[in-house]
Order: sequence, then structure tokens, then C-alpha cells
Amino acid sequence: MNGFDALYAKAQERIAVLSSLPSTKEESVEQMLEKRGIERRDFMKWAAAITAMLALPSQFTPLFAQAAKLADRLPLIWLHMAECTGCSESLIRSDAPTIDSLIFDYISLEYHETLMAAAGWQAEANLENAMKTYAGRYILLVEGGVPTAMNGQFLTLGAQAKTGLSLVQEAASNAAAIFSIGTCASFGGIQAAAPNPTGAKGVDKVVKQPVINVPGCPPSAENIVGTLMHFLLFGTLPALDLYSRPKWAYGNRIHDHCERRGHFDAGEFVESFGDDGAKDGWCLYKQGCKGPYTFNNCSTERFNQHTHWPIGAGHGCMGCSEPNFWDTMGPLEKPLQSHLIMGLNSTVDKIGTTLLTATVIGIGAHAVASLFMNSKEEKEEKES
Amino acid sequence: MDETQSGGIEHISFVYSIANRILHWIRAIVITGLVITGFYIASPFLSSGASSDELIYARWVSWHLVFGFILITAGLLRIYLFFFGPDSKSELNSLKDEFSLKSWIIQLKSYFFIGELLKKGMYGPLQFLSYTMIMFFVVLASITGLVLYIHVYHQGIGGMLYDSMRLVESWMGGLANVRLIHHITMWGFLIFIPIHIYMVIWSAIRFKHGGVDIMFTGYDYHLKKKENEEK
Repeated sequence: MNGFDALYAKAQERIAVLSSLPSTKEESVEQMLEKRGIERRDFMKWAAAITAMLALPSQFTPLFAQAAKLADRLPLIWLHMAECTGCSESLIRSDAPTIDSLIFDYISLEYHETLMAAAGWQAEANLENAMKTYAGRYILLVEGGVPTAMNGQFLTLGAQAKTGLSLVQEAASNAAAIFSIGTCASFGGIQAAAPNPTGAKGVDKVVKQPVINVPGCPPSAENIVGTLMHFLLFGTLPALDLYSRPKWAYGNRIHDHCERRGHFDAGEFVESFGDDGAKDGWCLYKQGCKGPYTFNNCSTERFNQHTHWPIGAGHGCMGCSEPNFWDTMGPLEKPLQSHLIMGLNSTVDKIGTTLLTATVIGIGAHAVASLFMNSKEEKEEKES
Repeated sequence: MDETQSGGIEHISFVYSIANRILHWIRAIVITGLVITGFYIASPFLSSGASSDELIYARWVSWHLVFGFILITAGLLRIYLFFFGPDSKSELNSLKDEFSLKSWIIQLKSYFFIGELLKKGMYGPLQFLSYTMIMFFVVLASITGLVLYIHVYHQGIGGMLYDSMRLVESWMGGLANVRLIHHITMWGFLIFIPIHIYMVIWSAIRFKHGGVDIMFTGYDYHLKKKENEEK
């Protein structure tokens, strides 16, 4: 069996397994979509777009459509750690409810602190109930870094004041899959920036189970949904890079597919924001664009219903989907040669120039001393 | 000075084989080229051409890559020759000086005009350490350069090295750090070069031997001392 057939058979098997599972909702996905005015045609277009985004052949489109209809078999638990809810916003903010958000917010989301109506003891009971009912079946999505200093006491949640650390470890122990949504959950994010007083870490550093990272500040809704859809259809982890990021989304650099790349190669750079180069859409490398060091698909997928993205708006990439980007990518609006070396608070070029100057002075002093020593020795030799 | 020169030369010895001499000058040329093109790549100071079709920046990058691959090749050959080449024995003899405190003191004293520079191998201990450091910088610059390279060229050698270089990238904590380390190695070369040139010329004058000649002809010699002549 060739690779295509094997993958196709795997997806079909997975759909058979999913359909045998009981639905978590009374209303089916199809009924829900129909009630909210999504036509089948739109739904198929969406399925085709997801297929293309995951770099799968178009034959997989009907399979994705089938899998999406079975999304109610896959309960989701979304935990908030030390974060700003920007990642949730990225998923749910849209000009109109998208099929992605309808499927994941209305049907299978069992627990999401921002979206749920419950509060206090009731919310806590919901979470415990979901973890018990769907043990071994639910997908755990974590947003935000996990503070680990002082035994995790920097973050306590809910009426029982559980620490974020214990909560995420407890939820991870029975999860079918764990996704770190956003840079904070993946690598610690701004909380983990030096000197990191709360000891914030990515989820994969505090749980034993394998974790898929979907970094970005925020990641685009497409990257979140695409990762979920991949798990829905195949039930396995996608191909991951060394930072456990799905390769279909984080395989290339921002720079590789940037619309301003031609100006980079031509040496046409924006010298200051608002100059003629900026108006002509030239390259933002000299304005500190970190696209050459950042792996993400922003340049092709973009944000806000694929309409726009930071570089398109005239600001360089900040490298937000890279580990420790707060520490390694700064300053954000200057090229990396302006990066301050930790502890020395100076740039490489300044330190280098200082050392080189010291070297030249040293050489000069030694040369002058040599002149005197030589003539002195010669004199001594003549005298003797 | 006239007397010593007319006194002739003694202790003629063959130091560097032709391969090592050629490799030395290749490294000298490409490192200079790499520093100049590297500075431009870090901070492109030339204004753009008449149209976007003139790929000025890409041209600088391509020269940087050409020089870089020459440096990698020359570096690999030199490391091989250090262990298995014709000069390898006397080079490796310097390790005895490297781990001897007495040799360190002799070399440092000689630099402060106290006594001759006596050594067992080809290099003094401080010299040996600084040459080892500069080779380490060549290796580090080559590896970080390759990590940056494989993200632009995905086929050929870029494709072959892709997975291993991604591993190096993650050890270094992402591409931004790789690029920073690459930049730091450049300063290593910039500081090494003036010291290196000065010390070669200085020791040739101070100890009256063929310091600069060694890298051209391969031979070292010592000018006869006046005392010897009198005897």
C-alpha cells in the first residue's frame, strides 16, 4: 500500500471509530450548522480549505467534512493559565461566526473559562465532571504559561484555589491529546522572560505526556483549528519539528513566503517608518523584522479571515512563535545587531569595538616598549 | 644590525608544508571577504538599485556563501592536516608546552622582554591556545553559517544537512541566537587578526628569525648572534 492509500485508510478507520462513539450533545453538528444558516456548499468549501492548509490531497476533503460532522464525539477542555486570553480571542473573534468557531465553541467545548456561563463552585464542578466523564477521550487545550516557582503558588484558580501547575498535571493525566495554544503555553512566553520570577514554563515542561505546541502571540485561528482537525481525522500527532510544532504550519520561515521578500533580495529597505520605501511596501529588515528567524505560516495564512497580517500592515515580524522571543528577538523595531547581550547590557558590536580598541592600544604600547627595550639591549651589547 | 645580517643565518628548518601555507592564505582571504560581506548583510548600507530587478542584497549574500563554503572546506582540510599532515608531529609537540606551567611562564616572560622563547613544538603555549581558539571560531562560524544556509537552500547540501542543522538550531535556542553567535564569531576574527599580524612581525624582529617568511617559503631561520661570531 502506498503512502496515500495508507493515510486514506487510516482516516476512514478513524471516522468509523468516531462514529461509534456517543455524541456529547443532543443536537448534531449538521443540525447546528443548518440552524445557524451555514449551507452545505459553504461547509464543503471550508472542508476543502482545511484540507489544502494541511497540505493533503483534495481527495481528503469529503473525509474532513465527515470528521467535522463527528466533532461532537471529541470533547475539548480548555484551561487558562498565566495568559491574556489573546489566543482565545484569536479563535473566537471574527466578522461573523465561522464554521471553525461554531464547531468548536458551540458543540464540543466542555470547559472554557472565558466562554462558559458557570462560575465559582459550579464551574469547578463542570471541569471535574468533564474530566471524569470523558476520561481518556478529551482533548486538553492549554492557554498560558505554567508558573512553577513556590510550588506553583503564583497562579491559583477557582473556588478551591488549586494551583495552575496541579490543575494542568491533573487534566493532562487523562487527556487523549494535549495542545499548547500560544507561545506562553508552548514556551512560557512573556511570563518566562528573564529574570522569570514566577518560574513560568511551557506545558511540555511540567507534564509527562507528549504535547503539541501551537505557538504564536496569538496563533492564527487556522493554526489552532487545523491542528485540532488533524487530530480529529487521524487520531495521531502530526509531523512535528524539534519544538513540537506541527510542520504543516511551522515548517517554513515568515521570510520564505513574505510578500516583501523581493525587496529584501533587491536591497530595498524601509529606512524609517513613513518614508517613501515604507509607502512602496519595501522590506522591513532594517526596521527590525524578525521574519528571517521565525517559523510560522502568517505570510500565507494571515489573520482576521485571511485578510491581513503585521508585515502587510507595515510593521516587522516580532518573532512571536519562537521560544523565548522576548529575550532573543529584542529590540523589536531594530535589527538583531542592536540586541543587548544579557548581563552586559550592550550590543555585540559595541563590545567588539571596545575589545578591538583595547587590542590596538595594547599592541601600540607593546610596540613602543619594544623600541626602547631593543635600543637598550643593543647599547648593553655594545658596552660588553 | 649590519654585522648580524652579514653574519649569515643558521638553524634553517622547514616549518610548514605547501598545503598548510596555501590553506593559511585561503583562510586569510576568505575571512576578510566574509567580514566585509557579513557587515553588509547585518546592516545593508548601500542604497537600492534603479529597480527591484537588481538584486543587490542577494548578490552580497551569494558572495558571502561562496566565501563561506571555501572557509568550510579549507577549515576541514586544515583540521585533517593538523592530525595527519606532514607538519602534524611538530604541531602536536606543542601540546607538551600547552600543559606545562613553565612553558607558559617562559612565553609570557619573553613577551615582556625577559629571556628567549624556548619551546618543544612549533608553537608557544599562548600562541597554540590562540590558534586553537581561532580554529574553534572557524568551526563555530561554519556551523552557525550552515544553520542559516539550510533555511534558504533546501536542496543539495542544504537538504542533506537540513535535519542535523535544525538540531543544532534547537540546541542554540532558535535562529535568532544562531545568528547572534555567528555575529560574535566575526568579532573573534577581527580581534585575532591585528594581534596575529603584530606578534608575527614582532617576534621576527625580537628573536631575529624568519617569522613572516615561514608562511611564504615554509622555512624558518635564525640570524647568527654577534657572540657566536666572536667565538
